[in-house]
Amino acid sequence: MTPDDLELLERLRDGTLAAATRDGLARRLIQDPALRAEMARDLRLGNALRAVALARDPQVAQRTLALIDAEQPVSSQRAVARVMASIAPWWRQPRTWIAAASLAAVITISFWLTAQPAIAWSDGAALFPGATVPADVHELRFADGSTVIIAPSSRVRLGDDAQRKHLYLDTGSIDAHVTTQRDGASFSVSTPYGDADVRGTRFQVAVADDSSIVSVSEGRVDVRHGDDAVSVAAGERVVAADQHVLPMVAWKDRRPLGRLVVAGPLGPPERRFTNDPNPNGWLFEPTLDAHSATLAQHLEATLAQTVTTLRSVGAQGVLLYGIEGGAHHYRTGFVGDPRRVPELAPEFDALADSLFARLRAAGLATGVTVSPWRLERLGATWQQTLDPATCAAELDGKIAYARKRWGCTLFYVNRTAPNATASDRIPDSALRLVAAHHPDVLLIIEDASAAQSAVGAAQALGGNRVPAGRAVIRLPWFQAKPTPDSLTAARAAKDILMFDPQVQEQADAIRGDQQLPVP
Amino acid sequence: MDADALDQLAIAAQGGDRAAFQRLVEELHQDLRIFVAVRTSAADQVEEVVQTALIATWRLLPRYEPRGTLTAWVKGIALNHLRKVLSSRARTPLAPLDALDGVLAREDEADLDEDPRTERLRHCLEHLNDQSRELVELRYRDEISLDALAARLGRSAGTLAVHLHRVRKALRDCIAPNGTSS
Repeated sequence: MTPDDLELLERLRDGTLAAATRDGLARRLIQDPALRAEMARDLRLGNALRAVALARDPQVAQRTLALIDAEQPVSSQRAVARVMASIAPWWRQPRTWIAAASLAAVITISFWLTAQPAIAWSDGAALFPGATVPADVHELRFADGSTVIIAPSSRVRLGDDAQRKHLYLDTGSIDAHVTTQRDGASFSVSTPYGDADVRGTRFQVAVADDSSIVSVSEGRVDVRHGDDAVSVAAGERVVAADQHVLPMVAWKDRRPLGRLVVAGPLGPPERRFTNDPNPNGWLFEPTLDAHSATLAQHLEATLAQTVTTLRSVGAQGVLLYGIEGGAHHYRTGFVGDPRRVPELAPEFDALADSLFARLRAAGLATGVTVSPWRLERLGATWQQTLDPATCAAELDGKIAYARKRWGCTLFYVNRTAPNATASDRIPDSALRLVAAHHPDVLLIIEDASAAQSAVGAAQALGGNRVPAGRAVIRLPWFQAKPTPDSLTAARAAKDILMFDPQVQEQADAIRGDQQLPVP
Repeated sequence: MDADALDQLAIAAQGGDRAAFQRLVEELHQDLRIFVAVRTSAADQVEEVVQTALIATWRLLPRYEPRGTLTAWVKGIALNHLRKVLSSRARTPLAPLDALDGVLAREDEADLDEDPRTERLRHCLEHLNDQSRELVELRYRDEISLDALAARLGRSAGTLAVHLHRVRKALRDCIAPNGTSS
């Protein structure tokens, strides 16, 4: 089997093959006995693995006896069919592996014996208390007119009470339109990360790897997780994770962002001279005398040029990278601690307030980089220490400093450094806490792949890892020029284009992109 | 539970002891489910065939001679039912959407008399490396779809499909009559 065939096979198991694809596969299998044999063997082993993994069915004996009692005078085969159809009529035409596999867990003969009414309906099928919604059902209707749209690949289970309607959303997402609940009726949704109680509203729930996101379109939803309980109004979103319910602020301004690196390494420390005129590598100019008025002139000229370029593309703001200087960059990457500017870069510290004021006066939002780790001197060198328990507070302090001193609202959060390991990455939960503490700033979360390509950045930042609306795409800077495809993709994803205003090709490409949102 | 203990329950059940039959079903069900599952590519048939076989077991139990072969005897009943179901599905006039099921059912039917030695499966699973075992658990125990799994593990769906296939092939080799499970 080719890799494509194998993917087809998995999707056949998932029940996500389109009818035409199934038909095409059937034709191929008829013509290709070897493929047919291989695929059937593979499917059978998958079924066996599923059977091995299934927990013991505590109902099986009771169900079997009930079926034996109910069998007379019909045949056993018909009795099984009758019971299963009464519980979940869709079982006879399961196109999905998941639906079929979950059958064992949801069938309980007691429902049939007590003739409980259906709770919800989909096209051609009634769903009974406790049922798992089959994977190929994408809309549920309730007797009171409430409807639920289920996204593909979601897993939804029904509760046991028709009056107090309860959905369990294990994975995926739903869009619920709930009619006003009266006379003791209620509607609630439980996820692995929090519950939502509804009286009558329209709302959406999505389950991510480590959190659930509730968005309310109309009315109000009470979201609970851990000890937190938040009443979410129309137009608001919250993320439930780590036993907290945190508000999410969508960053509505989608105009481009500039990224200006003001300092960086001019060479490995061992190759630098002790009398280096520019040890911090300001503007990457080895001969620049950083201890004279020349530094101020050069920085101001660079900023003036940057402001002109940013205005020409309608940018919303600019982030300054490297304001702590580049002397230690080889060991630390961008320091990302504005509090250390007076210590590490006193020459910039003296100019910083006026430079940031100039950017603000040009109508630009300003920002800096911040790191979650502590930077400590270790003899002649430096050491970064990331403590998962305190890294949120570490970021909080750095952000608070830059906000207070320079009015910064844009923050690039470093997650990778030259000598950092995978374990040195800030936990997502800490990022969410920081986001909750600073709901009115834009946090741009760096990811390992983001440093390599725009595509990687879009995937890493546009997914569930950070709250939606905070994602930006970082275009490849230095020599790279954005391609029409990358711009189109960024537009589709509603990414904020981030570019280096010092690279003319990037500015030209963004300026030429007529469909960019305008200020 | 050993064969003699199963026979004792069978004898009690032959005398109409429903509690004994209930214990028998609880003992046999899991193995029976695996036995059927490894013989049909249609997952939706497994529970149906197992359930039908268990009901037939109650009806046919008076014919059973307690010789320590109850498990094999019940599996024989399940195999007969599976044969009927596969035959029916394979020969039903094919509607477009049923074509694939029919084709696969014919293939299952042809292989029905093979002995995949499923009793080895648990043992073989224990010999997978950690990464493969975790993948099997996520896919088959937790029922995570391919796309969700790819997103969760940060790998492409195609790569995961290939990995899953390799794991299944290794397990198939392991449980084969000349397998390497030992």
